[in-house]
Formats: sequence, C-alpha cells, structure tokens
Amino acid sequence: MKIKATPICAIVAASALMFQSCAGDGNNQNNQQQQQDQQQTQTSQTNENNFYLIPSPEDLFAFTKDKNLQFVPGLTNPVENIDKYIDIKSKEINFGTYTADMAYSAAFGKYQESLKEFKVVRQLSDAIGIGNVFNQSLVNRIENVKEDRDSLKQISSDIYYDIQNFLDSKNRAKTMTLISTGGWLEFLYIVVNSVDKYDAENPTIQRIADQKIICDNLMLRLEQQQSDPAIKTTIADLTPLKDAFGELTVEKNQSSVSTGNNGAIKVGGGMKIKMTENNFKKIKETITSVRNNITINNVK
Amino acid sequence: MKNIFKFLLVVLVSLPLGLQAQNTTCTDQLKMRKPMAPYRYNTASKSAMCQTGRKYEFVLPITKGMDYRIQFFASTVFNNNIDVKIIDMSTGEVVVNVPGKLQDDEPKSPQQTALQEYMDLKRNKFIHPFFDFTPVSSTSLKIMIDVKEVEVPQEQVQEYSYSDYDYEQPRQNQTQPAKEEGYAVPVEKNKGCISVYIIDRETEEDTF
Repeated sequence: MKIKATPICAIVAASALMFQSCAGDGNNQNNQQQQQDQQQTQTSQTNENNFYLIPSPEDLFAFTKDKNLQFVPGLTNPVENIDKYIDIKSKEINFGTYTADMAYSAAFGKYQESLKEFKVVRQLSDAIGIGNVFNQSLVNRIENVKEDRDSLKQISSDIYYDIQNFLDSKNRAKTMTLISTGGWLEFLYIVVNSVDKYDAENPTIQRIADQKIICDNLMLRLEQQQSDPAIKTTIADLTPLKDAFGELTVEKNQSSVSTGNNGAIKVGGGMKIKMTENNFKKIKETITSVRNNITINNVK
Repeated sequence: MKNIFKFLLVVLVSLPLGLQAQNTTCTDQLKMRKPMAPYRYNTASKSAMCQTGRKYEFVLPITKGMDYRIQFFASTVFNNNIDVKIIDMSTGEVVVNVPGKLQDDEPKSPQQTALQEYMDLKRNKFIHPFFDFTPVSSTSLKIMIDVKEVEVPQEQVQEYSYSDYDYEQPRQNQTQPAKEEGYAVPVEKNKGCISVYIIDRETEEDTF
C-alpha cells in the first residue's frame, strides 16, 4: 500500500496544480500582466488609502432619459478599429471606449448597434485577460435580450459590474483605471459632439461643464498609479483636456447644507461650474483630438 | 485501497472549493446586495481591504438630477469601531459625522451611526443605516473613514481571518469588550473589508 501512495500523491499534486491554473486567467501572458498590475498597485500608490471613484458609462449616460440628447449615428468608435489595438494599453483603454459605446447604444435602445459593440467588447476582453467575465449565461442573455431600452441597459450595466468585480478580485487596478478612462473619454466625446450649438440654457451644456469634477477625480486616480508607464503616457494624453477644463470658472455661492422633506441632505449648493461658448469650443476641439488619437491608436 | 480512493475523492472535491475561498475578495461584500426599486446600483460603489488604525478617503462625484443613498458595511473584525465623515466638497461643510456604533445606547434613527442597525418599531424590522443626498448642483462628496484600533478578546479574534466577511452586522454583543490583561489585537488579524455601497435613482422633482 505504501508503494501505491506515491502515484496517488502525484495525482493529488497534479490536481492541485491543475485547479490552481484554472483559478488564474488561463494563459501565461495574462498572468504576467496580472502580476505586473499587482506590482504596480503595490509600489506606485503613495496615497493608497484614497479612492477616486469614477462613474461607469452606463451611469454617465443615465441623463439621456431627459430627452435633451438625441442619438447621433456614426459617433461611436468604428468596430473595424479593433485591429489597430496591438499593445495592452490601447486594448485596455479602447475596451473602455467600446463599453461606453455599448452603454450609449443601450441608453437609446439601439439593439443592432449594441450587439455589434458587445462582440467587439467580448473580443477585446480575451485580449486583456478578462474573457472569463463573458460566460455562456451572459452570452445567452445578450442573444435573447428583448429589443427594449431597459433590458439592453441592464445587460450593459451588468457587464460593467462583472468586469469591475473581476478586476478588483485580481488586483488589476491599472486595467480598471484605463478602462474607466476610455469609457469617460468616449462618453464626453459623444455628448460634446451631440451638441451642435452652444446654448447656456441647454442642460446638456451644464452637464458637460460638470464633467470638470470627474476629470479632476480621474486625473487624481491616474496620478496615483503614475509609476506605471501606460498610466504615465495616459496622463500626458489627457493633460490638454485637463487644461481645457481648468479654464472653466467655478462660481462660489453662499450656501449652507439643508435637508429636504424626504430627509435627504441637499449638497452641491456651494459652487457652480460655468462654461462659456469659447470654453465649450475648446473642450470640443480637445476631446475630439484626444479621443481620436486614442481610438486610432496614435498616442505616445 | 478503498480508503485511499475515498481520501482522494475528498481531496479532489475540496481543492477547488479551497481555491475558490482563497479568491474571495472584498468585492463580494457588494456583489450580494441588491437595491430595491426605484434605486439602482451605482458602479462607483467600492469595497476595499482596510486596516485598523488607518484613515481612508473615498471621493465620489455626484450629479444633479440623481438622488444618492450611501451605506457602509464592515467586516466584523472591526467591531463597528469606525468613524465616518462625509464632506460636501462644494462648501467644505461636514454633512455627516457619525460613529460606527453607539457606545451605550441603541440608535433612534438610521442616520445616527454608520453601521449599527436601527430597530424600526413601526415596521418591526432592523434597518441598516443609510444617508441620502440630493445634489442641487453637481459636486463631489469626500467620504472619510477612520478605522479605530480595537482590542478584541483573543478567542474572538481567532474566529476571523482575511477571508471572513460578515454580510450582516451582528445585532447582539455590540458593546466593546472590557480592557483586561490578555486582550490584544494581533497585527496580522486586524484587516478586513469596508464597503461604501452607493445606490441612486432619478431625483423626484417635487421633493423640495
């Protein structure tokens, strides 16, 4: 019996190795990427106890319900551009742009467009080692989704949620930051280019101005991880946009916090971000240039 | 021989389970929560590994047109011993400043503590603390969490490890253990997850 124990131990050890490799991302390249990300996360965050939260594209596009924004065909990143993304950074950041495109199409109930974008997102997910998120049940849901806005939005939201959880569980903070960056840039590009003419009374103009808050948060998050070369070049890519938002005036109001009838605390009364027509033109020009450089992969 | 096969079977079955447990992360604290309509989950929610004696900041951009509800959840290893402050960045005003739990009393409202549940006598159920916000202009909220050093009986500490997350806060035994000889917090045991759970809905125009 003692003699037979050796092959059994070998089987057990082999099984352990097999399960361990199953628990990983599936291939060496992805594991290396993951290890790199983990190292970056551990070494680069000088202020690692600060978390700069960035809304998902689905949350960003939530305001489309107010009918001030119309769907503009052709604004999204063409799916053919996927072949241009060779390096990891461009794959990760453009994964974010396509996720935003999917959220945009879903927000307007554009089923065919959403489906096309979903396929690209899925293709890129394999390339950046998060293909595990797109399990058969999710694929079935997409294929059988009802052609209505709410079902599409729910799926788009669920995908983002699963990606976020997956990356969190693998300590891939850098990947999540690049995806968030791509998503926000695409959202801003779409919204800014959906507005033909500046009108100070248009609520969408105020929403664009308010993006200064998210821009500031995103830059802080990027700076937190800037020891990573991909993040460092992304900061450089986004600096013109940060500067354009930096030119907006922040009007301070004398306001104190109060509580509404429903018990909610009313906040935000202390300032309003103002955007002039010139500011709008500059932001439009800058986001178009930054986003196009990223989607055609013509960046540093 | 039969015993060896039995052993092998047990090992093969338990291996993936063990590995799965290893992969458990703080995000699981968020995963299992489902918002009640009309609220929906806000993806800016964050669950992070935190340590006693440290301070954490979460900066959350919030948009006019949406109502936000923020809730906090913490691993039991912290024994609800945290302080939470929320600052409206537009005014710099502290709008929430609460402890994780009350020392000698039961909370009388869901906004009195950050973690200790409040008994709603009308509905005869425990309500987890929540904080509602309505931005009149888009702004950011800075959420500051101070995780206090806590002394826990040795035997209680041993019940928890890095992968132990309690999804429901314990309703009993909320008081801090008395300081006695032999009470200590081993450094390797004082980590756990703290979640900032955010849900939102469209603002009801006629609220104010």
